[in-house]
Amino acid sequence: MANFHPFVVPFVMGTIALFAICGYKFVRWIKQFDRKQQALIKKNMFSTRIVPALWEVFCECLLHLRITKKNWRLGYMHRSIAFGWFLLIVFGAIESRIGIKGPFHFWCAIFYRFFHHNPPVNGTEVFFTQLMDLLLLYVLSGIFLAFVKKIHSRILGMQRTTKHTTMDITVKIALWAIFPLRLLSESVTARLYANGGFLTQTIGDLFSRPVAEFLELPLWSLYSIALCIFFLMLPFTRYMHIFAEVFLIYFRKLGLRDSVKMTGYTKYELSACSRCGMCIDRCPLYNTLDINDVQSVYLLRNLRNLEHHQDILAAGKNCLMCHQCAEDCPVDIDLMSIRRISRDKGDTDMSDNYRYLDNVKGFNAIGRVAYFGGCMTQLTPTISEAMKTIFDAAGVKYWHLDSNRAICCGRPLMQQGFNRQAADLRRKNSELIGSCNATALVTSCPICYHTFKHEYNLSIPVYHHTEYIDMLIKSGKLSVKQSDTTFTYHDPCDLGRGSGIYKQPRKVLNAIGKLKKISAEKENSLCCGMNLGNTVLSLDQQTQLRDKALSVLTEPNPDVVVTACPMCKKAFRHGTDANVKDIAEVVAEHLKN
Amino acid sequence: MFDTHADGVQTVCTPSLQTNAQRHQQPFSVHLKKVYLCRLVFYIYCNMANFGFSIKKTRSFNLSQADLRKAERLLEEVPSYRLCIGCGGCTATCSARQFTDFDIRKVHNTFRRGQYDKLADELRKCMLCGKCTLVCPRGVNLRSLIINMRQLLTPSHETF
Ligand code: SF4
Ligand code: SF4
Ligand code: SF4
Ligand code: SF4
Ligand code: SF4
Repeated sequence: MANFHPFVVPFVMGTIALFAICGYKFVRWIKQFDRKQQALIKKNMFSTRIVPALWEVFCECLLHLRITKKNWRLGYMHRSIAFGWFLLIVFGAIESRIGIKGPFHFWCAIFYRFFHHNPPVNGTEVFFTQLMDLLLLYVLSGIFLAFVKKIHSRILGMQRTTKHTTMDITVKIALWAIFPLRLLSESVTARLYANGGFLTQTIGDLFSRPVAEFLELPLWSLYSIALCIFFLMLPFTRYMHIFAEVFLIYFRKLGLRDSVKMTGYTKYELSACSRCGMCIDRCPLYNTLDINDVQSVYLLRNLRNLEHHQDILAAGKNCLMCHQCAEDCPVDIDLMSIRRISRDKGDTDMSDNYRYLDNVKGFNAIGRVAYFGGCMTQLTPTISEAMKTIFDAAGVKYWHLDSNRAICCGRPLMQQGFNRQAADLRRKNSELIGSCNATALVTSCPICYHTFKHEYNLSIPVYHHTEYIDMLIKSGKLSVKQSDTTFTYHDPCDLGRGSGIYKQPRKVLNAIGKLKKISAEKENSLCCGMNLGNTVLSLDQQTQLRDKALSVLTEPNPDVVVTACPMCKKAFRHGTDANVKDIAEVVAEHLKN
Repeated sequence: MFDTHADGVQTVCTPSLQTNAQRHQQPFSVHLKKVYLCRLVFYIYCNMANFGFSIKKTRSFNLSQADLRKAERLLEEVPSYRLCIGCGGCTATCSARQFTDFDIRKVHNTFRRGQYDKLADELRKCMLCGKCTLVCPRGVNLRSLIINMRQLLTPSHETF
């Protein structure tokens, strides 16, 4: 057979196995989509959403822009390997199409130099030869950085890299071997036939002719075997993310989201995690409490392998749900939903609860704003008092719907995997709020806010009080006094990272006094440690987390430490002599007239 | 009369989140208030019927016959529960109790004594809102306690 040599067999087998296994897995996962997800796919499959999806695939899977934004060295490393390899394949295919004489097989593109011994003659061939060398150098630079990262991660700006399994390490060695082997085999061939570019020819010329002759076949075979090992192991290791991420981006663009149970979509997410470890460094459990086996990367791995049930439970439980890892994940995996899925309480979670709420009567609040303080605000009544003062001052008619008793929004139950029970509470609350004819719902607790906004289908707008106060000030209904008080502001997890509200509280505080900058704010704000998401931390550990957040907040010596969450306030109040207030209280104290 | 904080809560605060130094800095007046509070409580206690309270029927358990394995397991899972002094702060603040006759202290107390009957249904009334955890003066992790009790009472969880 022309253009064939036995050494290509491992590569060919590896490639066929790779596509067969991946195809099988991908189809099986699609079958596991729930009904809502399937309907969405059918509806949007061929819509114009494909265009932005393709663009995102290009930017993220090949260029790795999100990683680059967070850490340019790491971004370069990933880009050079992914994009460089991609270009090697594309240009290799073009080059071999032009150059190969006789029958063309797909392996000819990969082992082109072996099957095409003539030195480049015309301009096009010279161009391609040099280009391929340049690309190879590009990929090798990435591999070199990956090696440096393994030896000393701090050079690449990471404190801690992921602890990998043996499988992952083996396949990584195979991947790292591929490109140096390619370089060497092309070099020795270049020595023999003078068909190399600036890199391979130079290296090749270092060999003596007999050595090159002796090494040529073994090197090409090793190259083929390394490719084979990598392809065979890829579907079972973290490198599955190369393909899974492409599909994940597409499905996400079609509008698919995680459901409360494990679905096929979640499986795509689990496989799209590259175990890059960017979710580790800023996890408060790691960087403050030194707990290093519960981070999202490990949870996802355990869930994907489904082999350590106890580990899944333990890792799933210990997490603050502070959204920090979800913020840091370059693949944008919905880590909070996966955490919730891992906590699913199964048959402990029963439906048809809360019969006692059936007797709770509806109320009428036509034309008023419904104010829902939330359970936690009941323990910090000065916040709801301040809100009432603000409503009055702005001339807004309101209805305090949990003035003496409160039905929980259901979030704490959801976070602990009691989804059916949470649904029961949601149903009751939707009924009450839906029938009260209020014009808007204002809440004081970021947790309730996030829930009412995203988990309920309320027909009225939902505001957190920071947003609402900002709106009142902007529309001129509320005017505040300027003063020379200085503030630092704590972004509560569920309001900041969870709901993306960063601007409004800052505008409000700057209208009153001077807001000082702190070292960890907005997306990087530290959790106060009291998050309802966690049930296993001891008080001592919570206190450590709180103290760390407080030290950042009190560092610029502000007159008042301001937060916008009753829980954070409660946590901070006991930990510092500084003045801790909710933003509503600050505004209520600085009303004009 | 109560130890009132700046956020206006009349409750037993969570002293475990206070440093010891802070706790000892209480002014004398607060101390005095506490003395009066104690007297008042004692007075109410002696005259409960006059204050609209009724006397509960005494419940008696035979501890030697109780199966304490689940209770022991609970204490292992939630070590902070060992600190509970049965003050009832959790029940007093409970969100579910605002609507129905649900007594979380009674539930965990009964559980601890190995009387598990009907507790599973009772526990389903809890909304897991976490107020009880926040007010508990002993820092008992009540949410964890509740979740663990539920799981220990689920039939599929019967490991005993
Ligand atoms: S979850 Fe995201 S950040 Fe964490 S390892 Fe996976 S891809 Fe990286
Ligand atoms: S949500 Fe927060 S605590 Fe949980 S794993 Fe992510 S960063 Fe860590
Ligand atoms: S209390 Fe605030 S900072 Fe703490 S967990 Fe809640 S939202 Fe996050
Ligand atoms: S759990 Fe805490 S609040 Fe409840 S009775 Fe025990 S000590 Fe009191
Ligand atoms: S968590 Fe349950 S027991 Fe505790 S206050 Fe809320 S409803 Fe009551």
